[in-house]
Amino acid sequence: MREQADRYAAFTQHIAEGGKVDATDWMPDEYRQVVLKTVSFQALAEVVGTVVFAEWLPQAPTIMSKLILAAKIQDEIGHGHILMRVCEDLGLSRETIIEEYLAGHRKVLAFFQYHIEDWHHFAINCLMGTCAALIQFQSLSRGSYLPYNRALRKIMKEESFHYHRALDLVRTYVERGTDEQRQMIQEGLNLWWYRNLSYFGPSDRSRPQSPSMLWRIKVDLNDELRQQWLDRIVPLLTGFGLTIPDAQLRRDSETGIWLYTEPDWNEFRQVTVEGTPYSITVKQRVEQEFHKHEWVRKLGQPVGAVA
Amino acid sequence: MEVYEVFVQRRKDEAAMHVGSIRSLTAYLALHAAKEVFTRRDQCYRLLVVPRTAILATADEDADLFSLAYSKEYRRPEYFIHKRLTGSSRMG
Repeated sequence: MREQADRYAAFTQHIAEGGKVDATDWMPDEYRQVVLKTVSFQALAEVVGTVVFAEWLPQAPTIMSKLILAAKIQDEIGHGHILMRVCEDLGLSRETIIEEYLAGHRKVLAFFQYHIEDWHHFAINCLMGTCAALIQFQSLSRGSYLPYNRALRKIMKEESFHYHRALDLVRTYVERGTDEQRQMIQEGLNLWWYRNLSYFGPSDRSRPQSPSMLWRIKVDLNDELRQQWLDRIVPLLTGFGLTIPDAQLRRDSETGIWLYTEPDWNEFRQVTVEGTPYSITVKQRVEQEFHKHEWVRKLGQPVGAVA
Repeated sequence: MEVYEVFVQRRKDEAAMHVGSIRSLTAYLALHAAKEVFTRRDQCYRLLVVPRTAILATADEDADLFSLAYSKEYRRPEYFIHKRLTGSSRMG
């Protein structure tokens, strides 16, 4: 008992001093749970995201854009795979993650619960979303859990391709497209701005430290990440001659801090927890695939085992 | 299902490096899955999978065992350069 308390204290101190933890190291259960919560949330988002993206394969306008989109979707499946392996080494299987999602016991990234209605919207949305994801992954990759850091480093390499793909699409429509195409990009920006602004979650500056900050799985506050995103995305979008749908948006010249209109956090919470009609469609697609491939999973079970 | 550790040898003249793991029914299928997940971008000359259970590794607390290699300074070329320049056989 005494030994256990000492081990816990040593672990806490190790984390507080910026120490790192590997899968084979001893860790308290609270730590394991926080890692699992963070990593399984991202793993699920990667998998669910592919359903959203795959809808656009038939509608991508050229063979080249279909090939590029297919490569992006394959990347995301790979990301889901790598992250689920991180979870499995801590005792949470990929089947459990999917089953809990299907049973409604898992939160899904709000971002993937809105239906994308137009290819141009998809382009501008991918640009804002991938930019946000990259900033978040860079931050998370400095956390205390090494297998997650390694996974993120690999994921970021591929995410960088997704970012440049989206940038190229937006640039093509804005600089060489028709007036109507430019208009559609602006319309997509109007529709998706606040959904992307809410990507990092509500402000956690004045809240007590969350378990994920305490165990240093998360190292930056949501507000800090949002500022970094604004630093990058605002000049990019305005540089394209696009108008950001927030009249209050400006960078304080003295503090360098962005001032902006907050997204509707009530909507954010509701969408994250309850979903939207579109979330049901996405979930049904995942469910279909999950059942369709059940026979493969069964091959891995000993003969006579109860499913 | 078994866990396989995945190694990538980028070029023929380089050593293989650990890149992650795959859960698979067989070693052959693990190799196939590893190709899809881990060789999507960078150059790869050879891909290797090893059942995790086949790997024997030293523990974290054994890291000190290797410090001995460093403490034996007389096995390093700098030792002789230092000795020639300073006339001393002790390296700071």
